[in-house]
Amino acid sequence: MYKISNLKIQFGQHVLLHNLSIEIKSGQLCMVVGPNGAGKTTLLKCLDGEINPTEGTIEFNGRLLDHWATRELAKSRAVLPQNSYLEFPFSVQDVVLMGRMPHDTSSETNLEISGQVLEACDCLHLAQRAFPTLSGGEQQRTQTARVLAQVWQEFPGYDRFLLLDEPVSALDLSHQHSLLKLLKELAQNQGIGILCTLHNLNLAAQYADRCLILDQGRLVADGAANEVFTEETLSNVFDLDIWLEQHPQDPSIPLIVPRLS
Amino acid sequence: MITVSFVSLNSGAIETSFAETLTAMGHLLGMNQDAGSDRLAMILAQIRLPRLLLGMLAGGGLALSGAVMQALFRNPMADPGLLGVSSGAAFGAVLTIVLGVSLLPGLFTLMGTWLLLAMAFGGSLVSLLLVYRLARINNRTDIPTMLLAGVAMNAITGSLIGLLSYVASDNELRDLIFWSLGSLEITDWNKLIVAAIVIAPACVAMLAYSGALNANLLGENEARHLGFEIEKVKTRLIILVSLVVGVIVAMSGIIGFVGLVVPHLLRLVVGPDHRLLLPASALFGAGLLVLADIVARTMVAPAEVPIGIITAVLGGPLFLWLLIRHKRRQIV
Repeated sequence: MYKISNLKIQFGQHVLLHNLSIEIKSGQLCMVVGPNGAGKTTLLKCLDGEINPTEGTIEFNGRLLDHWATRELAKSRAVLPQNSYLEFPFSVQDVVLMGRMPHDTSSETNLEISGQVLEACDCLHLAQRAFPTLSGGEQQRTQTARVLAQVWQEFPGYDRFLLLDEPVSALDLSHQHSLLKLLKELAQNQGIGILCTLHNLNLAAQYADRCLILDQGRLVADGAANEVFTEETLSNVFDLDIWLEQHPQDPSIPLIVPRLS
Repeated sequence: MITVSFVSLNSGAIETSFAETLTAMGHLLGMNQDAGSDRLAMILAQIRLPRLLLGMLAGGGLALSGAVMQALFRNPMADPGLLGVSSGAAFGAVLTIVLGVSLLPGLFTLMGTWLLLAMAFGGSLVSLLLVYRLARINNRTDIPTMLLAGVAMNAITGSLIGLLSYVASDNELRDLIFWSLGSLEITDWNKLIVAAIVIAPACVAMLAYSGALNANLLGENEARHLGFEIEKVKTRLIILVSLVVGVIVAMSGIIGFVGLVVPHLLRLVVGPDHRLLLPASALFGAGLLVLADIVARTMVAPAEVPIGIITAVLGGPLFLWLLIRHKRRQIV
């Protein structure tokens, strides 16, 4: 689990994150939403260690983040950045197998895991294709599969964690839902902690255990979607007149619709 | 590889038949005491064998350095020659020859070879660091900037070497030409051993980073998230590449395009995985350069074409083809 205390990020005069204190537990699918420039990616980069806090501390599994050895951290935590760029013609399977690099498991185990992960991400039919020849969505699914392969197996003594920056941005509707369904299962059944940034509020409402709304570097709301997604909050944060409905099948799931002007 | 080595031993200014070469090799190994093969055995031991070994070291080292640089820059167009690393090393070497001999003659005679190697290493390290820093924009290598930085490095070192050629004596001038075009001519076993002591371990050390280099192709942050201390890895590899290129240039001058061509061709055959690509590049690079040297020695025998010309004739068009392919991909 992650424990963020009084996190502040400042670049020159710009304060990107103000005094955030959040705790993210294992087994929770936690989604970060907010307008462009709200600080979602900055928060993720702090958690993955790319940006050092100006003030405050970040703990992962009870230890300060920068006290972890790179390799050890990689065994229990995987990160999917927003854009990845790979010009060299690795096959999809090779890319996914790279997710197993931090582990000392046998190559048979690694192949088995890559098969399972590829299937879970609907990439099995692409396994032998060269990565650069794939479409944007297929590339994103492959990268996601790589990241999942890294934490697919239980690692005794460690809580596993996933940091995903907009994992569905290039996916079609059915793959968006199948990936989020998979993430929810991983959180519930495997106890993996997941922090995921997302733009589609309806997806967040449907799948997240917990939603964090960020606006201008501040945490505006934190809780279950049906608690924090209110017409007032969302209209304010996104500067758009928003109408809240209920999912026809499940009234506990809010449905977000922009009002016609 | 063995065939290429044998053909290399067999060719040179003095014509020999395969059988004669074989007999002479036998003589060297103490298998026969035939007086007739004596002279040829000496040619083999003093001229052709060191040349063959230097060719292997230089070819293998350059191809391996090219493959490693391409992975570091995450870009298939990186090459020690194109990016000015070789010419940086040449500048270091020329500076040592021209100024060292006149300013510090005592020191130069005492430890000339080591001084030369150290200066060449310094030259390649400085230019590699400069180009790397210049070409990095937002954690990505910008291809035009990288190539332009290389052009600038080549121009700067070229002009500096040109400037030095005005203060150089006739003898030194001949050396300068040798450095700018490359040659595997070597008769000094001691120098060869020194080069081998540096190049061979550095090459083996580079092979150990193939996993990290694979991960680095995904991105530096991605490599870090996969458990590699990528900053350390990069620093070490930059030093190793500079060391290998520096020593090779100090020994054999600038031999271009080997580092570009070999990893490229092999990527088409064995794929981009560095666990295979790096050793294959070293082997194939060694073979290719020895082969190029055979061509260089036999084309206008008994005279020699500088080997850098041969590799440029092979590599130049391939480089153009790469650029065209890159251009097409950007349009699509």
